[in-house]
Amino acid sequence: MHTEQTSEKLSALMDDALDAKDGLSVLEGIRSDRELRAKFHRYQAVRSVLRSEAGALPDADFSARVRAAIDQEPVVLSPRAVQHQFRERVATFALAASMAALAVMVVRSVNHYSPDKASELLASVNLSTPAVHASMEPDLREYLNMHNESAYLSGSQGLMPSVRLVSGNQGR
Amino acid sequence: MRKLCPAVFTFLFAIFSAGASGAQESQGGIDWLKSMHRAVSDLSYQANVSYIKDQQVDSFKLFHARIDGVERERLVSMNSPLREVVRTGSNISRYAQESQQVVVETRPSEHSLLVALPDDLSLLERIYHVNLMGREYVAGLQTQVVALEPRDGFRYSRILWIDVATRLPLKLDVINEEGQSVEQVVFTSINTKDPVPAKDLEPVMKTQHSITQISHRESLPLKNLRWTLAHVPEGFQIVAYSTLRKPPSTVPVEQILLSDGFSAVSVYIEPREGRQPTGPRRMGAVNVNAIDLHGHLVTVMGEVPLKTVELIAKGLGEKAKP
Repeated sequence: MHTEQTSEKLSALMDDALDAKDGLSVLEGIRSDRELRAKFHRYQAVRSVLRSEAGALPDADFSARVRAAIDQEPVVLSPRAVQHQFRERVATFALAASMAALAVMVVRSVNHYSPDKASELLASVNLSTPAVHASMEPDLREYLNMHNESAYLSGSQGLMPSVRLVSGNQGR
Repeated sequence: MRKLCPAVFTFLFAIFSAGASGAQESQGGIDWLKSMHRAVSDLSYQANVSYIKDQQVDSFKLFHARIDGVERERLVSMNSPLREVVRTGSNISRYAQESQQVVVETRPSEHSLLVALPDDLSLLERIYHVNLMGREYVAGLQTQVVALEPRDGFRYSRILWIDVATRLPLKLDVINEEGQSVEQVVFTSINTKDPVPAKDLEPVMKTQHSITQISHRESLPLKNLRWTLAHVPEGFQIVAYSTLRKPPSTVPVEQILLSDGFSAVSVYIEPREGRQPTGPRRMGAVNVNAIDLHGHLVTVMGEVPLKTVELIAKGLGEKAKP
């Protein structure tokens, strides 16, 4: 279980607001810790959804490419020796170049938007199919309706419960 | 202190950053959520809404107004099967053409609400990172994007696109623990300028069909709760406790509704009567876990990760009798 401090550092890393020591520590964590890597991927996915409307989600290889790039990045947990600096700089520029390609791709997607294309964008939303489609028994369907009614009555979740109630897609 | 690999993170992450960060940004996000809650309740608006789930798109018309201090709302599907939900104050009616039924439910009075959700939305900060994520256009209107990222793995992320002018949420995206969008609501057009005609707040099906009216919920005081919940993720509170009847069965089903303000989980408890629990199930954003508990069938469901419903189901117990 990661601490809140770890999450904040991860978020700060993505905002480029972390100093070198903490940044290296978090990167090492991402590389070695599956759970932290998953969280990193999740944070990236959230931000990617925000920033790339048309291609809503990053492809499955996105995080793998980032991880591969991170793996190539030398992780130095001790003061830097002078003889390593050139190699690190080369690695950094190589990594930066690969990241730049990704960044350009996302920026193009963001800039691609115009208000006139709202319906087009909506139609092109790429939602993933759940891993398991449960056939909905009558009891479960009724429970789901009751659940949404209750959530709607509680007034805490805005429009979503009522939309679920009216949707023919709900409980299919 | 020198920043780590500035070239890398400038290229990759600068486009993601929204400028302000930390507590200041979080407070800004909370302010947006507060004003959004007020706008949703107070403003008059009519809109076309799309709901996207499992690669299916449903379309609705939404009408909302506050008349003589009473909040009224109607949501009607534009395609078969024809369904609509009408809310007047604390009453909601759900009409379904296919079943020729209208289900009428009433929210308990404010005083009998078991545990009201916190008016202070800043409490959400305990369970979500609330981040401002820049401005984008939805339905031709400029919106502020607010992201809620859970601080734990027990709920989904949510992204809200809030209209800068009216503060109405024009888009909501729910993202699961794998970073996949599991459901989305989008306003494709909205009118906040013209008053909503009274007829548009009345159900259409009421006059066109012979409707059987049923109501099957009875709200109960929390002191009547005969169950304990040992494992509930932080932030979830009991917001309702009811008994439900599922005709033709005469045996009541108990329902406990938990909510953290954005995610809701229902716990249903009923006599098992020879039925076998189905175990964990997944239906889009909703996860379900059904277990046996001392001769009772317990079904826990909600738009939360599977591990959340499993945890809550595992922690359910019966109160010791005095």
